[in-house]
Amino acid sequence: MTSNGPAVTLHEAGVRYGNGTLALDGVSLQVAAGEFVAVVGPSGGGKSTLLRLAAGLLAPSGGTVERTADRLGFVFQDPTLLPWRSVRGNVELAGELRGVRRAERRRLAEESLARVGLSEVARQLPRTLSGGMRMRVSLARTLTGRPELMLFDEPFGSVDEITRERLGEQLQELFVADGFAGLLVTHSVAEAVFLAQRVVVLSDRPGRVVGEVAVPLPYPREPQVRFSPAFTELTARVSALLRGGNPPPEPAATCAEAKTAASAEPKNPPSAEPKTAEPTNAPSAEAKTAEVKTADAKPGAAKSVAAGKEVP
Amino acid sequence: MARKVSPPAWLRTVLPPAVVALAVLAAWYLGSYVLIDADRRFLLPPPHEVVRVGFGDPVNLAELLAGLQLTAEVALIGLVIAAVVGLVLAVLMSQADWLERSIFPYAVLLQTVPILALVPLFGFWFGFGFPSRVLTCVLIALFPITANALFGLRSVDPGLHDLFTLHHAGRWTRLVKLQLPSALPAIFTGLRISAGAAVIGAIVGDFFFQQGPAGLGQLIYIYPRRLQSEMLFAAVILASAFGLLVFWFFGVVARAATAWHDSQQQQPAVQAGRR
Repeated sequence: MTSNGPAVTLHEAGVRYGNGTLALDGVSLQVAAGEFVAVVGPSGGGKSTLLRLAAGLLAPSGGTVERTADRLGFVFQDPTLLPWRSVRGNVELAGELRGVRRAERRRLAEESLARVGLSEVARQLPRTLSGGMRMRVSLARTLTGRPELMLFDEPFGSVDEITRERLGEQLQELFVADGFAGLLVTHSVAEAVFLAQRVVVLSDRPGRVVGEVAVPLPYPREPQVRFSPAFTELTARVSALLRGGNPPPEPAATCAEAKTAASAEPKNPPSAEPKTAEPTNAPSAEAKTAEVKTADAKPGAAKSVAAGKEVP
Repeated sequence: MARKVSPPAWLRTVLPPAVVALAVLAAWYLGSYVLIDADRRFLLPPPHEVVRVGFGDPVNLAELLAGLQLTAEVALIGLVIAAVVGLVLAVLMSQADWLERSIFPYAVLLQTVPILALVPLFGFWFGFGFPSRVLTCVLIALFPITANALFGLRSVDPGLHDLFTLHHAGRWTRLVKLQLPSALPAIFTGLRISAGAAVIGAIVGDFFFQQGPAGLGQLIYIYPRRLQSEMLFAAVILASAFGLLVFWFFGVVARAATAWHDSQQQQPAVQAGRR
């Protein structure tokens, strides 16, 4: 896992459902080994579809998906636990389906449960646990496979805010310790920025890549990093891209408009104007190095440009 | 009654049906003694007469119990066969859409065809003995278990299916480790309904054959013709009690087998929510 080859690569991948709905349109995205990428986008914007593509649960109707990572972990939106099995039985399931021997999978399960702090409840049934704990069981089950690539589909969407943040912190510890490649899909901008090295912004359906924000905050990130100016600025940029990336206009005109708007009104708040992604007026040290990349230009695709100070 | 003092749990379970039973008994006595003249009392014999004649007389009781035994045998064997066939059909249909499209219409047909019209035919084809009675019973009991099991097998959480797909689980693994356990609550619901239907099926078959050894069905046919209304009532009570017993039995088994299921958690929640 030391090499920085790609773990998964989507090239111009599109998905059209049987009923004709275009869920994803020409999405190109690469997650390198050991890299954590978050994808944010509006609800129903094809984020889950993108993840299912990456997992191979869905075949693209256009473009290609190439997964180089062998061992894949998928954390679903719901804990997806078997309600008739104990916590440990659920964690063992992954190994069981892969054909791991009984003693070995039990050892793996116990080790994983210890890592997420759930050894105490190993014998209980899932329904006796809180939502957050169930999610950790799900995480533990995925960890038993020692995944090289972890895919997270809105994993903490159904728990309360504080639990959600704690789960995010725990997930980051696991990422730092194991160095898997991570692809997280979420609608929470703060969660995306807290966890990822890059945040890719997806448009409303059909999902297209609107832009990308690099998050140069070093790991391990303390929970308090969420209150730092750099963090606030990064979330503001992602939010701006989210708001701006809505209807796909003529690319050329938009670029010009965005640049003009950016240079004309440098103190514009990020949420003000659609189609413009605008850094705030007080860039911190980290924010200066943070760069906002444009989406790879595809004819007809939404394109959003933010004119930050460091952008060439 | 003081507001905050609530009766114990067992009383809350027992009291409402007991009140209903008392009301029914009262209405029964009212009918026997007030609404009907003494010389026509055989139309609705009072409850204690039913008990005295039907269950108090050893000869009569022996006749009823022999009938119950035959009916019970037919019903239980019919139910076992219906359960096995129904489950196999449901599993087959859950594995492929084309199988469901091929089989399900006939399962529905089974439910809509007047079985009563077929019963004499079974008599012609297979004789009026045990096999025909079991067959009638199976045909009546087959649909509920098939339809419920199929519904259960089909209603597995799609996320869990994805999980199994990601781990390249085969058909068999998926069926045994995911679909069948998920479907257990629905399967037990089907079994309970089928069990009730099997008892009815056993009685109906017997009622129409009127040949061979007498089950409860034949007794129910004969007693009114002999104006033995006490015995008729006793036979009906026995048949209903047997149906209840079977229904209750599957309820207990279901609760034990699906203790993990949410439906088993709702009762305390409802009671806690009460004032």
